[in-house]
Amino acid sequence: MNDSSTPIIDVRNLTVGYGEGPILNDVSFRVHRGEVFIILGGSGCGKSTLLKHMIGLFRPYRGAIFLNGQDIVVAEGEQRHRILRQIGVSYQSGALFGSMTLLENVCLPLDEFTTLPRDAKDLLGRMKLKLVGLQGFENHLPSAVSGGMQKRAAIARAIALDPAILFLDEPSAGLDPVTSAELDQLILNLAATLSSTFVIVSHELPSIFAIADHVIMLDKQARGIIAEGLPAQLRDHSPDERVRRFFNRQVSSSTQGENATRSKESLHHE
Amino acid sequence: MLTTHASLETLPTPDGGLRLKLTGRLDAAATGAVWKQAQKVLAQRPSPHLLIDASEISTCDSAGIGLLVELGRRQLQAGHRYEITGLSEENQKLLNLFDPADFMDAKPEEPQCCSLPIEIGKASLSFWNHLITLVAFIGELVVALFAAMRHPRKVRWKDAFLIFERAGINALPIITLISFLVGLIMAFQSAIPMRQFGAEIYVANLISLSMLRELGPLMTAIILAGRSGSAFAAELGTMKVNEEIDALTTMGLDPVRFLVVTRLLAALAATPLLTIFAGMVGVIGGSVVLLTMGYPLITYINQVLSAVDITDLLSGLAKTFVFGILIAGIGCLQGLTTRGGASGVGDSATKAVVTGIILIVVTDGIFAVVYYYLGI
Ligand SMILES: Nc1ncnc2c1ncn2[C@@H]1O[C@H](COP(=O)(O)OP(=O)(O)O)[C@@H](O)[C@H]1O
Ligand SMILES: [Mg+2]
Repeated sequence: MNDSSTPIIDVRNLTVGYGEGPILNDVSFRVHRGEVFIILGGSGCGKSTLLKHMIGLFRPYRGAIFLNGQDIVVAEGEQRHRILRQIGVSYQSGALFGSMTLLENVCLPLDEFTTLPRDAKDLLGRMKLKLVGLQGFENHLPSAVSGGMQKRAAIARAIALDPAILFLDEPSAGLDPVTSAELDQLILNLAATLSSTFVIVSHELPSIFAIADHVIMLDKQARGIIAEGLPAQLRDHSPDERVRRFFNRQVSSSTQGENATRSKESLHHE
Repeated sequence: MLTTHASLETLPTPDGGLRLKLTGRLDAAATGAVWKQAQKVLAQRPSPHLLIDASEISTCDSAGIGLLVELGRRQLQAGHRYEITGLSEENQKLLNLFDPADFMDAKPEEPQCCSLPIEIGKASLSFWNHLITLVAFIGELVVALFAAMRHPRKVRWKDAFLIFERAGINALPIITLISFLVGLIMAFQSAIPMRQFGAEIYVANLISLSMLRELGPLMTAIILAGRSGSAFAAELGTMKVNEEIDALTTMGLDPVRFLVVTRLLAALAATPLLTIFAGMVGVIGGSVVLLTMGYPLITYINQVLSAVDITDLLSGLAKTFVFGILIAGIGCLQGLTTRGGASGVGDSATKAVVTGIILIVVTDGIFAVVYYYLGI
């Protein structure tokens, strides 16, 4: 089962939605061990929806989601808990517990799921915070640190139990370019040192090019995957116009006015 | 099958140092036992040069790395040296991320010892600040209410009506239930002794007077404080935590006008109406007892009408306007002053209910005294 050649995530013919029509239809893809896998697409195309189904928060209409060889869709009880112990999630809004300090947030999973002595948990929590560059902020409340720090603390909490798979929903959205680049560096470091697999939702182009090993692109109209592969390859060689437009930040031809083609930069140079 | 546990061996080295040999799986499940053991060894046999042999570690996750960091930290704290040998390359990379020296002063936070003067100072300061916010809030509210009276078209009547529906109309079932039961039980309990004097019919006087003057207003206000005061506090508190209140302010919309005035108007309308309703239902509840004792309905009605007059009804209603203002005002104030996250919202809702009920009871007492001296 831990054979490194089998995919760690195998999604087969997945159809998902929230009770009304399907938001994604018949989606299949695989993620290999140790990869940084990015789900991208425009706003509202169902990236978070796909992620929330992959971590078992909702039940799909159809299809199977194998995490490390076990189908989370049909798993119940103890088996489901075992699968959930192998994954860590950081949510789009951070979802840190506001009444706990950063250290308490990170120590919470350790408290609940390990039998380590108290000072061991404390040290591990501090080490995780150090790993995401938050040393010195252990006793701050989430509301007392910046948005980028909250995201990093959320990642520290997600990696508290050394998960095999880490799901991050838009980790760098809403951050300044420098912080966002630091976060990319952090993700690369973690991927290199923890040998975890990363599944990341993102639509930040620089971060996609910086960290992705493999991407899938979702589309709202198509209700599914419209492209899959390496980001640089998709940007330059995709036959699909929507994909090239996304990677080259172009407005769709129907809404493209005369002015839009002249970027601000070229105006400055004139 | 791999071993599922970790173990620790200690061997003295020829040069008087200590050699710790770690074996097996150092993961979150197995490290706990070894951790305590290692701490004990270091405490009992301090050694200037610790040699940690990591060559027999089969797997190692961050708990295992944590143990190595802990050992290093202990040695450094004691001013001793240590050396780790035989750690696999992968784990060495992981270990290199953490310098034990960074965690030297890392001790779990002890709660600070409190002293009486400091506590008293803090309490007085927070009371003073509380008083200031209260005065400021009342001032803002009065200004907003006057503005609303001068420009009634600027009030968000649609919101006010929706809140009236949620806080008022939707409260009818619970008000009905409680008032009916209170009327019924009071009538039943008082009918038993009164019967001995053949005075059961005066149960009607008792029920109608107390329901209209005291119990109706009080019960309704307490139910509303629990039902709607807490809802106002929780709703505004969540908005505050989510920075929605800040958003209103920066859009140039005064939160007091936008959120509080509507709630206050809704509560001002709902409380008297619900009180009248509660009084009527209570009197109906009382009638059930007398009917079962064989009195005709018309007798009961006549007795009620002779017992109460319009001043009783109005003196009961006058209070309810004050109750309505208290319930909505305190709920909104607690909501707007919410701090922190989810637990802050919980605190605000609790405070809204508790403060609301206390103030309702106190106000009711004041009204009773005033009515007594006025002879109403
Ligand atoms: N809890 C929910 N209930 C119903 N519909 C939802 C829910 N969450 C998201 N949606 C809808 O699903 C679609 C995809 O949303 P989402 O997955 O959040 O997009 P994004 O790709 O921006 O993360 C949107 O049209 C949204 O309105
Ligand atoms: Mg999303």
